[in-house]
Amino acid sequence: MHATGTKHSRRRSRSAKLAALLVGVALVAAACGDDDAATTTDDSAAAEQNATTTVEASSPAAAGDFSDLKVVMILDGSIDDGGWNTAHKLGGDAISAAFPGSTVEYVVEIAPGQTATNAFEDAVAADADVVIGTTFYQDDMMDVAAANPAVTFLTWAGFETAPNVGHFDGASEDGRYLDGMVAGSLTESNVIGYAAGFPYNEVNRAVNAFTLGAKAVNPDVEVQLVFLNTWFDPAVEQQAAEALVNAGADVLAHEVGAQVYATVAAQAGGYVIGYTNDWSQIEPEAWASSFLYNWGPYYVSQVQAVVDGTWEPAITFGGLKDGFISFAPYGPAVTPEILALVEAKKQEIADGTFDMFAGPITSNAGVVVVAEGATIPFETRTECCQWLVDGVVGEIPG
Amino acid sequence: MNDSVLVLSIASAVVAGTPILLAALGEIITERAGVMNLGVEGMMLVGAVAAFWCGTHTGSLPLALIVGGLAAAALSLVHAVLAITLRVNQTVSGLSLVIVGSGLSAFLGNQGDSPLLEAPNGVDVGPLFPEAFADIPIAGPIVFGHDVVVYLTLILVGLTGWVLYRTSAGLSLRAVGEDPAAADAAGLGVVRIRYLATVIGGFGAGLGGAYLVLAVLGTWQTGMTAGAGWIAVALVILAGWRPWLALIGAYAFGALRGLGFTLQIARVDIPSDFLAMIPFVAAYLVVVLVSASPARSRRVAAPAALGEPYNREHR
Repeated sequence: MHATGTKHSRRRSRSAKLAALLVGVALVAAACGDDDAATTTDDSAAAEQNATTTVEASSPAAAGDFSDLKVVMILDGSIDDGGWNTAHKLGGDAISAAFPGSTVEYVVEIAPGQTATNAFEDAVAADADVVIGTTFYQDDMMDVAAANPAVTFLTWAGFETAPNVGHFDGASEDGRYLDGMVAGSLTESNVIGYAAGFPYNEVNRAVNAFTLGAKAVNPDVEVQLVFLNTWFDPAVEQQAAEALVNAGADVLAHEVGAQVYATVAAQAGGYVIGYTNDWSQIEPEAWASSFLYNWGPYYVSQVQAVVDGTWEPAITFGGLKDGFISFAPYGPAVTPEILALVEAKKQEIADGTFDMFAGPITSNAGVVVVAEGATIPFETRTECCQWLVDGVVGEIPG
Repeated sequence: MNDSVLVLSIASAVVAGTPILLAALGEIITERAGVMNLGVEGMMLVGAVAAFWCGTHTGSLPLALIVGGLAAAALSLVHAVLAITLRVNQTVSGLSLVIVGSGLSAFLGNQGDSPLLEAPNGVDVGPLFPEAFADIPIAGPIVFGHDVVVYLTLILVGLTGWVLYRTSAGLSLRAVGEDPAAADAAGLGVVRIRYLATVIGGFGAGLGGAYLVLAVLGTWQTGMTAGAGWIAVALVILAGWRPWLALIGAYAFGALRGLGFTLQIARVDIPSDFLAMIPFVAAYLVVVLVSASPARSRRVAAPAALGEPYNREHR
């Protein structure tokens, strides 16, 4: 009696466990699959609709009507993040504006990896003509591209083209140099704090350009650099920002993710330089400047080439001269005098009369890294830098 | 002297440790009753977004803290139903809570015409003591320089310890976590106590998230806890389920994490990636030392029934 009773209740509890487990798994699946699953069903529904409308409307696709044109943009974050992804969303808006009637869809929160491959496949299945990936998706989409030669693919920072695959990247250093000029003009302690993620080429290059800009207007300035070893961890970034302020920094710059630099700078009565952010609303008094990426002109030109049938695969690295870099509104502390300096230099960079990497450049270890008369050509800038320029206080670990 | 890097670092360690400490205190209460809730990270996020929303609309710190606590407590109820009533595997349920909480908070933070993502902090969290106290050498910034929540957290640590070890309610709670069958036989409502402990734990996590967003960071961002909830869970084990040790652990963690940057700036010749590792290595060392010490091994043991669903018909 007793034994069977136990067995019975065990079985019951086991089925209860199983049921609850299923609920748990369902919760997980619902949460995980939320964004992409929802979007992809939308996509395929839209694809069916598209298919039917194209059949009905058949050929009279007159000039100025781009209802057959579909662009799918795949992003690794939210389009409302106020930084990286918002910039790409604005680029998508530019496509919509330039091609009336076209469809631009956004698939958000897609981390590189298998999820990304699925997202690219879904985009193709949804009848996209152009698929844009806004982070390093190259390894996830080359096979999808090879299997779908009729679709054009563009991804950020890829280095391997195919007949239907091109890549793009923006020269953040063009913007960083000008942000550095603003920081160098604003600092009174002559210490600028700079929090960076990892010592990759792009990060080091941005730090170097920033420091060169700061030193151009203020030769006594030091850029106190810390590496955080994370791309996003606000609590860690808060401590780093405080440590920089405690070390005497009265202007904070960063190349990570958190908004906390603005609040820490404001508390300390200093200024903050964003990284593709606009924090003029969050801390209006402390806000100084930030460059932004401006992807619209590039995206529109690429889609136009696809429409015209003249598209060629390319790796496009664009700076100020190419219209890839723009700027957030400057803060109240940026005086007309500073602004005039910055605008003049901006013009010189854009028309090619000023080269920020023209030698001689000495690293902060005392080594001449760019000789007198030499430079780092724009085309090979992405191969730079594993050194930090004189004026940076800090070092590349390892 | 009060401008010295050492004094400022210690002062900032207290602030950095407080969100983790609040969440860990809650989790200690939950786990002491035998319920393991790994969903702290998700609950902190939901607490943070609710508190930030409340703060921007009311400007009231106490109200924002309470709303943050209550939002996370509501989420912890999901875990309570799954883990206590339905007796589901508590690890699975806790992990789903993390994912649900992350998604829910990201969703909520992005709603409306003026999403919280771009909103400035509505709450002014200033030091509790008058400015004159800040001039006291060393003690000024370290002891008197903080906001009201830091001191409140200290009181909560004492209160939690007192309730756990000096009251019959605490005895009941621990009994349920050690031997629910015996507690049940003694007439304690195991299910009721476990529910209560889980919800209190959720409230603590919510307070931690609320403090993090309102006082430490001052802005809401999607996923802003970035693992703080997991550190709180680890801290509970590290502290041997004891409030006072959790306090030391949380402040030490904050201090060591800040130390990494202080050393980088002081140009100490240690790679920064190694410095970033210090708090975690220190945590391992403490765990090893504590569990290797024979005198303490009995006292730092986990609640005997931790993570095990209680079924009255199962005896």
